[in-house]
Amino acid sequence: MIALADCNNFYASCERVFNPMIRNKPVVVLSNNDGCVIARSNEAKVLGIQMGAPAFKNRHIFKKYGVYIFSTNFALYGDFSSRVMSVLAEAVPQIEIYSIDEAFMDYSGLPEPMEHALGLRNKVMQWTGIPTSIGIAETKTLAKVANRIAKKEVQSGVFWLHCPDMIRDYLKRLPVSKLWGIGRRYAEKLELYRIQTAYDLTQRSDSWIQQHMSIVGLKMVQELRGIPCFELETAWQRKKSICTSRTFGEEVRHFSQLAQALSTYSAMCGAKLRKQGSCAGMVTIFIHTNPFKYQYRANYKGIRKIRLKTPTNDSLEIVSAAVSALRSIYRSDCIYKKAGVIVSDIVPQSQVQLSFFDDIGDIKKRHRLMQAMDTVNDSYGKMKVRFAINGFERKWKLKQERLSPCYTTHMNELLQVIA
Amino acid sequence: MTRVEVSAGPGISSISAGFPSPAEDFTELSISLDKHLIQNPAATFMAYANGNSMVRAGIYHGDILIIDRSLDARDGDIIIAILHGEFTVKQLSIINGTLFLIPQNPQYSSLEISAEMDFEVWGVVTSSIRKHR
Repeated sequence: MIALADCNNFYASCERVFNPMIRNKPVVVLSNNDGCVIARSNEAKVLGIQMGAPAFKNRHIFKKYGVYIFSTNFALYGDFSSRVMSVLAEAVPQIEIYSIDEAFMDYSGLPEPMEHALGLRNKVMQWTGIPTSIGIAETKTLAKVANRIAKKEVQSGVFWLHCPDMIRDYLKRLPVSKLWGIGRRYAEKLELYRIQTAYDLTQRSDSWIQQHMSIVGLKMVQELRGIPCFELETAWQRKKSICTSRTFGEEVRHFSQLAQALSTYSAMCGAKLRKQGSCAGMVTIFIHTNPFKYQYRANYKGIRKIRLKTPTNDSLEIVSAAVSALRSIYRSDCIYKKAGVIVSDIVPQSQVQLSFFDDIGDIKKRHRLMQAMDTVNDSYGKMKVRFAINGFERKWKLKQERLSPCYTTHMNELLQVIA
Repeated sequence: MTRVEVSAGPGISSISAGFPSPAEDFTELSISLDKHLIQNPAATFMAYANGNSMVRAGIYHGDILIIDRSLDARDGDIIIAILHGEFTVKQLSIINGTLFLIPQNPQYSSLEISAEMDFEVWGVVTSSIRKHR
């Protein structure tokens, strides 16, 4: 048996934990650069604000109904995510963290799954302040369906989809577009074959499904029929590559501005590598213009890969690789809209082969420097200690006009309580 | 919140020559205030006290409060409550099923919590920290 726990309106819920004034009020969270709506509280959904809607198109609704608007605060959401996940992980033998706000849990052999899930949901709420929904079923795909019911149709927030008649009834009501892994486009294609509900899909033959939907699609349909095909993926996996990129809040055209942005992203990639205990052998940088906006200007995408002599997680080395690569692709006749750094060919730090010319003493010293930087930045906020090239004038910085305090990660932004 | 241990440098293990330290067999982990003060990291939050209503409980303006949301509030606990949409720290008193918020400063008065008040216990304060310089 599998249970899927999913946080309700996760980003909006995180904003509410330290802000009781906005409970029961419409809340939206905007994407990077405050462009689009990426999270909505139920009250905001009721107002008809759509997911992904451009903020400027909704300005009148925001104003008319007093919608509370927030910029994305990933430091806060990331912290709440790890709190929720650790409460879930403690309650079951195995857990697969599926995204920032959902996790599959191993519920096999539990005598009272309903009671367990209700208790767990209360516990997550009390410990972290985040509301969740939990769906329980025999397979991951059905647990996803059960979670949808838990979220939309039951008061308790927990639903166990078990007997065959019940499963059939729900699948008959479930549009195929709402199934796990099936997007709107794919659903349109299936409708050509008169498949409208999840149930319709389960009635097709295996060979038909495999022919039209590939082997993964067949597994998904088998799971709808109650036959487990997807196992929990619990093994902690090292990421194959790490990308840090941003769309600029303002126009950027000078080399020094791009160098500042790219070196900052490089330093962030280095910190991420060190957090997961790995090193990268390849650094890729890219810079883009905005093809829609400045048609009179050159439209350009520059990309450059650099292979490192020895895989590293030393921010200084990644920064210098990125900046020298930028020299070779920078064009002064463009206005840049986006830039990014990707580190790849990732290996565990313990398996790095040193080359003959590497100076071990030097590497050790640099390693201690990085540790010191991480320690300071972890407790005082990202990029508090930085390289001079990262700069302080941050024209390329994100537009985040409505950022809430980092209540759980910055000592100087803690909640204030009246004493 | 999660503590990340950074391992030794890339592919390096230090080799030392000479005599081993006589203390080697007795080394223990250094004291960690985090471990000492925080039982449930997932449920623990921090806040600053702002005001003087709790000085007799030893909580002064600017002190750091450690709040554990996993605990159920009992009579006599110092709690963080939400009262009419604002966070406040007070002592909780439960008399015959009625809740009171008791300040720890004679200049402030106690408050009986009635059903129509917008009130919620947000967490239990387990320690407070004051810096002296």
